[in-house]
Amino acid sequence: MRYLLLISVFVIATCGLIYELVAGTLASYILGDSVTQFSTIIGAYLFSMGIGSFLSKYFQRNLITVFVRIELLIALVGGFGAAFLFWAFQWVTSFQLLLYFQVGLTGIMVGLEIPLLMRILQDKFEFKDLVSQIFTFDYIGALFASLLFPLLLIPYLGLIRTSFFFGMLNAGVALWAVFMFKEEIRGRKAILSANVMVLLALVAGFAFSGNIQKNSENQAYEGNVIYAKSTPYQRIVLARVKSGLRLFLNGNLQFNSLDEYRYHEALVHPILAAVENPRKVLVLGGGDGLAVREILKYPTVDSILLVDLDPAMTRLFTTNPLLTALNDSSFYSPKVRVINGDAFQWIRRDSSLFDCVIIDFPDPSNYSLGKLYSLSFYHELKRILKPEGFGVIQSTSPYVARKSFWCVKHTLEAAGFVCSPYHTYLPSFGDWGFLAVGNRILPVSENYPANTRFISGNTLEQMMHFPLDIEEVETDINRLNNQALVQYFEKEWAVFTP
Amino acid sequence: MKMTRLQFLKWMGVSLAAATLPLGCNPFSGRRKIEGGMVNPAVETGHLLRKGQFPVPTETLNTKVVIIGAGISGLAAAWHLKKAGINDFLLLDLENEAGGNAASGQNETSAYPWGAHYLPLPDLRNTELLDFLTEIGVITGKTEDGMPVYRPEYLCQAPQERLYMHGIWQSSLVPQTGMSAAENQEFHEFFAFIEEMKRSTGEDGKPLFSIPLDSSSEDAATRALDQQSFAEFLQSKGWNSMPFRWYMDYCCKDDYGALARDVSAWAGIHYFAARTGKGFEAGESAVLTWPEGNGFLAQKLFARVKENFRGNALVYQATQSEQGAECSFFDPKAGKSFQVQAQKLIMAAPHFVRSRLMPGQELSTPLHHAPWVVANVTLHCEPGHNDIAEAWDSVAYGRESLGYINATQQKMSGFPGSKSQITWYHALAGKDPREARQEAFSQTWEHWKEMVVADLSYMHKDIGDLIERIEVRTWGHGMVAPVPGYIWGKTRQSLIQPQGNIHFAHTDLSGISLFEEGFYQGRRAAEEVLGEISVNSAS
Repeated sequence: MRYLLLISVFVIATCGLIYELVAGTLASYILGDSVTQFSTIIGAYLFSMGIGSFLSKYFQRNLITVFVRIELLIALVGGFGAAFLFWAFQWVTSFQLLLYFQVGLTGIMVGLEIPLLMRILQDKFEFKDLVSQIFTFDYIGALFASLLFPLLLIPYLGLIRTSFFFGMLNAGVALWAVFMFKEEIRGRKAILSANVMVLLALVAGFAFSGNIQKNSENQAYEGNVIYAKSTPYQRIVLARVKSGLRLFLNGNLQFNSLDEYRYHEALVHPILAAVENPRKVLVLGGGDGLAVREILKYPTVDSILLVDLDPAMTRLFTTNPLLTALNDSSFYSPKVRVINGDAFQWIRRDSSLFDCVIIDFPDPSNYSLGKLYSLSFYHELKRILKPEGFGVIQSTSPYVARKSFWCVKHTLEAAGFVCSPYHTYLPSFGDWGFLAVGNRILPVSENYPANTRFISGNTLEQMMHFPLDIEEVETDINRLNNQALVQYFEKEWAVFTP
Repeated sequence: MKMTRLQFLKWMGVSLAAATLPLGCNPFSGRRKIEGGMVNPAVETGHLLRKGQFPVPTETLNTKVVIIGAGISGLAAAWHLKKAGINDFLLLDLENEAGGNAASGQNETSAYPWGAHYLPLPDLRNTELLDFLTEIGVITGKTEDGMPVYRPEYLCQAPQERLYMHGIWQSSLVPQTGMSAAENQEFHEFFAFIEEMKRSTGEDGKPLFSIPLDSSSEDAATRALDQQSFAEFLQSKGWNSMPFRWYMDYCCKDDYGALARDVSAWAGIHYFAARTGKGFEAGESAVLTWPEGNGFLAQKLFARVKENFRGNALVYQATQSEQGAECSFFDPKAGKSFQVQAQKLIMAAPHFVRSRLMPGQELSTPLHHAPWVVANVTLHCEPGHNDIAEAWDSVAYGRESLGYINATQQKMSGFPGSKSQITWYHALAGKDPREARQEAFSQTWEHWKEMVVADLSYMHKDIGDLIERIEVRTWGHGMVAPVPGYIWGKTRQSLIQPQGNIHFAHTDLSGISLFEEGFYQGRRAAEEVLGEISVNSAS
């Protein structure tokens, strides 16, 4: 009896600290700034435990039944906590509120545990022994948890499974109590069946939660994965690294919040500033809303149409607070309209004309994407661009994929465009290339909006200079029936990636 | 503060529901059950013809011309009649839809072919076919030097083909992987020979090998090649290696449904040497294709003549009459028979049907028609996943099947969809066609399903787990094979000849079953009829 009792105190204590650590880690993954997150989570958790201890005096009868119920609730709230918070993260506007609610609820119930247990056992042990042993094992449990968590649990189980696992332990303690004090428990059958259900739910959760937050995925993305979703179109992964947030589509880095402004300013401003009073702008791809954020800096623009394939992507960047902070809630602007559809199919049907067209497709890494860089596609682009307008195409790295870059240029020229190539250095990506297209050479304008961080004065002029090792080379034209670009791209990037 | 038990259970229910939501993906979903079945429209109706008992016609239809069979040759005949201003004609087929071997289907993923699925670029001399392609918008114009400009979305998009050989995908169907210098030399010599044949003309100024084949030169030495088998010819040249023989058999099966030993040397060379078409930015190896295969072309032909079409018409008799020609058909839907009286009749059905409808048409040796099995397979993965469908045409070296084509290759999209639709082809060649036919028809869907999965698994190890649906169609008389002596022999010449007011049009009359030949035979028969109708109306 005494032996088992002390083990259960030990288990309860371990679980209690684990939930606190899970919440702290999850908060720093998702919200960044781990010192602040851990500090506030620990504070809130301990304070909630205090509330729990205070509330314990209001339970007067059937203490064992209450204790079992509390254990089951902790098993649910704590056990499902990490899975629930990761899931809710994509939907709620105030993630912090939910996080602290979960932390508070867990803390209150964990705070109830020890006082209740002491009162249950007060007649069975000498008081000085009881206090001494319960607290001894409580603190040993805490030490155990704090070592286990970083050394074993996070590397091998990940946050979500750790949380499920310790939920199971809490439910196990409840089950132990039901059997240990079977005479003193009221409504034993109902409690027992609830217990079994909670345990099964946690086991199921543990078994099926391999999807997100696996350590292997963390390593692949060199950071902590805070959001992962496989849509019918792609796998979207958002990872927190020291420097900021990184977004991956099918494992390919799309941006790093630290330096994405360089890319998006280089993509948008040269052509927007070159068109006199641009009004209608089209964005193909760019479901992150970051290009739209830059376009909205031009007051004359009164309509922005964005065509992106994946509704999950545009929704994520419309609802998620971390991401709307990044794109300045650009999708909420009344000037912006989003169409979720295939850009090629859409452009073939559309007959409107645009002042500026910004093409931000993934690199041509497969034959399907290669079609979006084909002569047939650029013929359609030519058709929807106003004669005085300009378009721009992100065109991979001219340093890594020199032939690929110039192949895009030659294909655009074959469609009848005058091309103005430029490139710049992006810390997260290396030397990156863009192609501005229109009926004339892109004029170097200096009328940039006041609030840019990268582009100003003569930046474009510098970007238009191509040093010897990335100078223009002869290439084929990328047609649907030769897919020359994908072949260049595969060869050139194969050399560069290990 | 205390919760009642009911509150507790409610709370728990809500929490459980919320918590299980994000765990959508089920890693334990095992091998899915493959759905599907046999798709053999009108086979039952067709077999009624064997029994030969039909009600006496109770209604008579009068028309100027009646065309029996709405495959490519029948449709082409109808198209030409319409173009010449004849509106009073009837196009009959026992199936509900026109198209014949160019039949196609459609599901949520894509349209897909059931038979013929591509057209090589026509030679610049085949003006009738080029005109047709221009009329239906496949050719959009001409360059200054006279090159037809094909619509890019109809030219087969890259990568066009690949061969799985010794565990590696190579980018051409001509075997290359792991071959010895001697083996490579055979291919080198063969293609040099083909280049020479492509450029050669006979004394009559005509190309030695041309499409339609009736426009080929009458050069006697060349035509003598029709007397020997292709296999014998290749052997006499010393081209004997395994890869070479496999490739030649593959090509003969692909176009003729027969092995190199069963077709004539003239026909075997024709397969390679008659492909001389070119277009703007498209070479001799370019082909035109559509998700629904040649169903696209059939539908274009049909669109112009649909008012004249009558499906579910099982013609069981066709004869000359005093004024012209007549035929009788049974409509299983109406449950009664009709008689058609016409000035002219175009028999655009295969020869085995023709000999059932008309007395005295039997041949001492029946034409060689191999049975085919075609399977349309829907996969639960996007094209390109694990190498699946990462080209238009995927073939495995050394296998009996002809591999598969990818229906979404031509989709104008940066994302072809989260499912793949592929069409798998298998010609039951190398056997007695009659026995092979009986065998094919006696097999169940389960049998073909196993065969398709096993064959595809050879190229893609785990493809079985990705297959959702397999639909299978068996073609009893898939296509005519140009056996030695047929193309330039007397039998074919006699079969082409009109018999009174009955004219003939079918690829059986060419000896090779190509869209171009069907189109040509239909046009030829229509022109014969037009000539005589105008003569008649003038008199």
